[in-house]
Amino acid sequence: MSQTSDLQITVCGVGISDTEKVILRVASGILKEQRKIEILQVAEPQNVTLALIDMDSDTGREYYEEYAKKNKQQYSLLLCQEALDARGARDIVLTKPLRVQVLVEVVDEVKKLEITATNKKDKASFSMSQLPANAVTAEAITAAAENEPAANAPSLFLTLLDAQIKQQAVQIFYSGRRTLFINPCRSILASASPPQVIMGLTREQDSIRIQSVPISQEDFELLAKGHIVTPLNDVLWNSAIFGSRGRLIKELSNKIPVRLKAWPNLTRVDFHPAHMQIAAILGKQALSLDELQQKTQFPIADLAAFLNAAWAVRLLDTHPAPSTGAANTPKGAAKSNLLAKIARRLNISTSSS
Amino acid sequence: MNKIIFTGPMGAGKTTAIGSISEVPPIRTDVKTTDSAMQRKELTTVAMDYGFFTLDDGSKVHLYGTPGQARFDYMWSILTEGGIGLVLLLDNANESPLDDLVFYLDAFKDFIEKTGVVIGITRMDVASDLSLMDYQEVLMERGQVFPLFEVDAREPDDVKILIHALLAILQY
Repeated sequence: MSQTSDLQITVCGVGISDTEKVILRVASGILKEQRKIEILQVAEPQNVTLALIDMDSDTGREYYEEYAKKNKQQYSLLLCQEALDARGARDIVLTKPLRVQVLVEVVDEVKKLEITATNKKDKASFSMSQLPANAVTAEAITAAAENEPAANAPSLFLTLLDAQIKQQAVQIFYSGRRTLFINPCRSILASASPPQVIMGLTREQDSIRIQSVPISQEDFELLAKGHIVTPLNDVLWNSAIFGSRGRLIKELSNKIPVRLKAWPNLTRVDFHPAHMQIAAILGKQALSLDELQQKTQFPIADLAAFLNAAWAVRLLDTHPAPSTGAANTPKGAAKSNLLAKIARRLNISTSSS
Repeated sequence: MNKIIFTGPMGAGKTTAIGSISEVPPIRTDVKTTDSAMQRKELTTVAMDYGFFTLDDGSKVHLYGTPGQARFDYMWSILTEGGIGLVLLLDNANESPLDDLVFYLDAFKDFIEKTGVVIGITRMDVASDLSLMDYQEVLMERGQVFPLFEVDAREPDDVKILIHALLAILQY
């Protein structure tokens, strides 16, 4: 479990870029949310616990040579394009680009060292073996989290849904994968991974833990810059289909009729034959989950996942006008037979499982 | 006679879509374009495209593509006679695809009411001014809930999904 601590760590960036400032801010938010640590960002680098120094900038190099190198009480996180050879006892070297999860881990490690030092009244020198200079990855930060019970862990679907409802940009850390940046206001997901990989994540979401942190629109623009964009609705749809865990979300009820406002884009999401029939029915009439199950005999879990997905991407009318009854017009046996033959000929599966 | 009708403006991919599921290469009645459309397409259909596939009882489902240019609209009512459903393809890179949507839905209103329509939007990757949501909003304003998908007419799977949706709405 996460340790709770009253420890405050003061941090200052020296010569760092705007993007790195945002990363520092986001990392601070994560640590605060986890109640691990309070980071105070200060303007003056002297006497801070941790100085984040860009060694590729003149300001950063000067500060390091003039002050940080000689300061035995301060940890220095040295950012550089290429690994540095010479390091002081309290220097941590990271090659660029700086990643939020890496910074979180570094600060967390510094905190542990500070607690140890405080307890023992002995500020032992920092062991570089505890932190690889440039190899701290998302796996490392989530490895500990994966050992915790997963019962209360939010799924990708619920995290995305929450962001969508609140229209809040978030950054999602996915164990062993690259970071996802979500912007519901622009209906996009940005990541270094291509859309196929992102859609693949939705299929295995129950086996992987995630962490998320809200970010501002400005931070999103900076952090997601240059990343590959995937339509958020496609990811939301898939994550609902694979992450609903057989239940309706709390915004829906199995007794209240709903109707589709528009069809989902089934050519660009993971598509199940049953979805076509459900969409065809709910496009013509309003039905509750229970009524839909009676009509189709499809498993409740599949129907609930469809309704969750349709609600999440705002295609579901939860206060529909009464149905006209036109949808109940029985089709002739000959016509049904023809449609079935066409489906067979084109290898179109119409089964529910 | 079992017919599925493919319609939409010139260049939307009707001939290609028919070709992707037809057992034979589509029989085309193309001529060289001579008007402003020439910049976009060298050949265009003036009467119809035709393809078919055979069902397991030996009967055929005929696939007809209407001429793309609106001045041949007198052909449309002839072609739709006896049709089982309509596939409307719209080119997202066209000048005003939302107007095209409204135009074709109105032009085939009677046929759609009697049967059903599915809508495929092509070339979403070429032009990004409009999203699928823009098309959905037009349909919502009209109170119409029709299957609407982003498609690549060259991909048989995309065309099959259109046909699958058409079968679903015809069934229910």
